[in-house]
Parts: sequence; C-alpha cells; structure tokens
Amino acid sequence: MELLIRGVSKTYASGVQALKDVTLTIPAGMYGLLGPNGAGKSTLMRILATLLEADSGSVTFAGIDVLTQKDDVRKTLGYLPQEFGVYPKVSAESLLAHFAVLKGVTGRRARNEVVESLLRKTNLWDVRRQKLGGYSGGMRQRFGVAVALLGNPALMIVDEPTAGLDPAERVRFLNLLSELGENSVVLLSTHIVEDVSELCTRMAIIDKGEILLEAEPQRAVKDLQGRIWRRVISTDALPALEREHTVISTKLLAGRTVVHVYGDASPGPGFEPVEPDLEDVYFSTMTRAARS
Amino acid sequence: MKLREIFRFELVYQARQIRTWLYFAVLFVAAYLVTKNSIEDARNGAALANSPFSIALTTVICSLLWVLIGTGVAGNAAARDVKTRMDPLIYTTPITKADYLGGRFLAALVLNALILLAVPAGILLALLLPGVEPGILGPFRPAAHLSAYVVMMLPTAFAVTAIQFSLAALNGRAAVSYLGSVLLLVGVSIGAGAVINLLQMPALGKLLDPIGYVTVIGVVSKTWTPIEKNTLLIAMQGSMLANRIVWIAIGVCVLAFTHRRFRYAR
Repeated sequence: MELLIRGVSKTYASGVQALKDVTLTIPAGMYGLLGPNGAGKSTLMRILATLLEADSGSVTFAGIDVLTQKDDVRKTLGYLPQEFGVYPKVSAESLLAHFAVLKGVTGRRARNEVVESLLRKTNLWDVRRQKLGGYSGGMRQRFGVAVALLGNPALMIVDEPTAGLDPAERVRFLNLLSELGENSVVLLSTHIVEDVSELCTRMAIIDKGEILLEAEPQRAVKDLQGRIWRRVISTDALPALEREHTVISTKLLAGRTVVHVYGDASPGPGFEPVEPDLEDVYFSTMTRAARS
Repeated sequence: MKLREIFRFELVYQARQIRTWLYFAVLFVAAYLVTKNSIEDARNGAALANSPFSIALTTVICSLLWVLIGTGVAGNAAARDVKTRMDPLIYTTPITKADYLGGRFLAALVLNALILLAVPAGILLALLLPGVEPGILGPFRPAAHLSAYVVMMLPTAFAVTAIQFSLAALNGRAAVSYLGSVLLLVGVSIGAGAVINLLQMPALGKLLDPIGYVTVIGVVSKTWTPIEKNTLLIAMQGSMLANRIVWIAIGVCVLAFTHRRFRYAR
C-alpha cells in the first residue's frame, strides 16, 4: 500500500504555477509534507483528495488511479481540509451520523457505535448535543478529525491540521493521528517543523511548488552532523555575517541574535558546533534552494 | 440508501429553520387576504367566493408570490455546502452526483409542496370563518381545491424548484436562484404578453407561463361567463395540460443538465 505521485503539475487560471513536476513515494505510516505558506502544499493535498484537477502527471494509491477513479478513492479517503466550515444549526452527533451514512456505515447499530467512539476520541462526547454553530475553532477542528476518521480510511490527507490549535489540543490531535498511522497512509502537511519531528517516519520539503528534499527525518538530521555551527551576535552584525557565511536561520534570544551557519568546517572563531535538529534540516534545505 | 439519507437530513434541517415556517406563514396570510378580497368581489356580483375560478385566481397570485419569496428552500438545499464551506467534507465522501443532487432536490421539492399547502389552508380559513353570507358561496367542492393544488401548484413547484435548484447548484450561490426567479417571472410575463398581444398567438403565450397566471388572469377571467367561472374546474386538459407537460419537461431537462455539468472537483 503506497501512494505514488509522479510528475504532478498544476497551474491556476491566474497563471500561478502551484506545483512543478512533483514526484513522491509515500509508504504506509506518517508522512510529513513540510513547507512555508504558499509552497503548494494545499494544492497538492486538494488534488490527492479528489477536489482539484491536476494538469499533468499521475497519482496511484493501492492500484487506484487517483486522478480518474475519484469515486474509488473516496471510498478509502479521509480528508481534513485546511479550512472548512460546518452547518451551524445541527448538533455534532447528528451531523457525524449523517456523514457516517455518506461514508457507507449504514447499519444503525454500527453507526451509533462509530459515532460514539469518534466523539469520545475527539473529546466531543460531552458537547455532542450542542449546535455546531456554537463550537470554538478547536472544537470544530476536532469535529473535522472525527469526520475524516469515519470508516477507517486507508488514505488520510491532513492539511495544516495544527495551525489553529492550542498546545494541549495539538498534542491530543497528534496522538489521534499517530494511532491511525499504524496501518494507513497518512499524509500530513504543515509549516511547523515539530509536527514532523514528533510524528513522521518520512518527510518531504516543498517550496514554490517543487520538492526540495525527500528523506527520513532522523537520517536527514544525522547527515547534518558536524555541519551546523552556532554563534551569538548582536543584531547589527548580522548583514556582515550573512555575506561571509551560509546563514540558515536566525533566532532572537534575550535581545541578541543566535545564528546557525552551515559549513563543512568551522566557519571561524566564535562559532561552536551544535547538535543539528530537524529545524536545521529544514532551513538548510530552504537556504540552499534559494541560493541555487 | 444514501439518497434517502441525504433527502431525510435536508428535509429535517430545513423543517427546523424558522425561515421555512415564515414562507408558510406569508403564503397562508396572502391566501387568506386574497380570498377575503374575492369575498368582497362576490358581494359586488363577481364570481362566487368559493368558485373554482376564485380559488384558481388566489392560487396563481400566491404561486407568483411563492416563486419570489420561496427561493431560499431550493437555493439552500443546493448551495448550503459551499456557503458554509462544508463542501470539502461532503465532496470527498463516496456519494454519487445522482444521490447528492437527487436527495437535495427532492427534499426541496417536498418542502416547497408542503409550504404551498399554506395556500389552500388560507383559502379555506377565509371561507370558513363566520361572516361569509351563504348567498355568495356555492356548494363546497373539494375537487376545486384539489385541482388548484395538483394541476396548478405541484407542476409549478416542480419546474420552478428545478430551475432555482440548478442555478444555485451550478453557481454555488443561493443568491443566483433569487436572481433567476425574478428573471423568470419578468422575462416570462413580458414574453408571454408579447406573444399573445403582439404576435396574436395566445396558444403559445399560454405555454410560456410557468405558473398558469396567463391562463387564469389573461384568458379565463376575460372569456369565461360568470356561470362557467362558478362551475367549471380548471382541469388537466387542453392548453393547461399542454402547459403543464411543457414545464415538467423543462424541469426534467434542467435537472439532467445540472447532473451533467455539476462537478465535485474544480
């Protein structure tokens, strides 16, 4: 069971080329698609979720042609869009039961069971009779998760799910997802590096519609070993440093600036080696792409 | 199974909204008031207050009103998913277009048919309340009420709901069906009037009218004798039958076109 994306391109009517010849191989488990806002993540996710037509390329999942056999994909698909709404004047319980029927859970008994278990999992059981119009953003997001999880999807497409969640909600949500990742393909797009480092066994970095890196997070971090250097400087010294070295990221720390520099050898006095993390992988990949 | 669930959910959702009952109330009051007017006319020597003609007249006037105010039922059934931005959730479930559009349309049609029951209800209330002297009433004829509902309103409801629904479904916006309803009424009444009066083709003019307005007000009220107005039913025959067949066929074509053109993916 693999999701194979081969040479997918998409240009919008406005002329914006959102995806350029994207090729990815996504095995079962949690897969992170990491990139800044506007990188083309949502475009790719919408194509995979059968909501957007690709201009060219092919996508197959477990023998199904995703681009043409949309009905077959939808039978095994769970999709959590980046932005969505719900009918305001209906309770979570009855709307989820409605979705259950649409997803093919037709027996009344089975439906009641799956609705109850998902509402409990997403911590909405106590508010199941409330109208969805009164839900907070986080509650609505969790309702979307419950809808996406209906029918045990073999292919789960999750677009920027943690963007609007508070820290506790985020942890709960990531736990829910990791449970599912054990026997499905779960593709998670995010601009938050921690989402990927905490969850994903494989990842890709995308920017301006192009895949810059396809890797296993742990291996990618290991590959950077001995190549990331740190130095604390005053903010006005930054432009000079940027001219001389490959600065991949800067961070403020108590009013001073911490820079991370990429280099095979020590860039000079004042720099100390640091243990790289996934953030360094992300920023060094983005920096190298920007320079080439 | 899925069509039934989509139908059921839509019916229940709209039945719980105040707006739906408001449409019913407005039509009920309108039918009541127009019938009160017929009672007044009957006192002045026009057709009997409960004559088939008076009932048909009230029915077409209220149908006209319904086309304008009742658009929300079909518009919402077709476009609520896009308006509430729930469309990405619904459109990624394994439902066929026939189940999705069919379930929503049938729910809108049944809701509209139920809302239109306000018209016979309002007419009956005005006729049954005390204060209507026996001299201006003929015998109570259920067939007159039934034929106004079945011959005039139900086919109208089908054709107009189909048009309103399709406009909203294909554009993703309920407002487009409001616009369409207004254009339908204005365009068709001007068109039918022009065909009848300028081209002198009354038969074609009667066909063009989706609610029977031209037939009842333009033809029957001018050409039928008082006795005919009091006794003849507006039945499913002749030009009325042809008109109903034409509009049901238009409704079917519009629905087929919508099913063909509608896409989950953009």
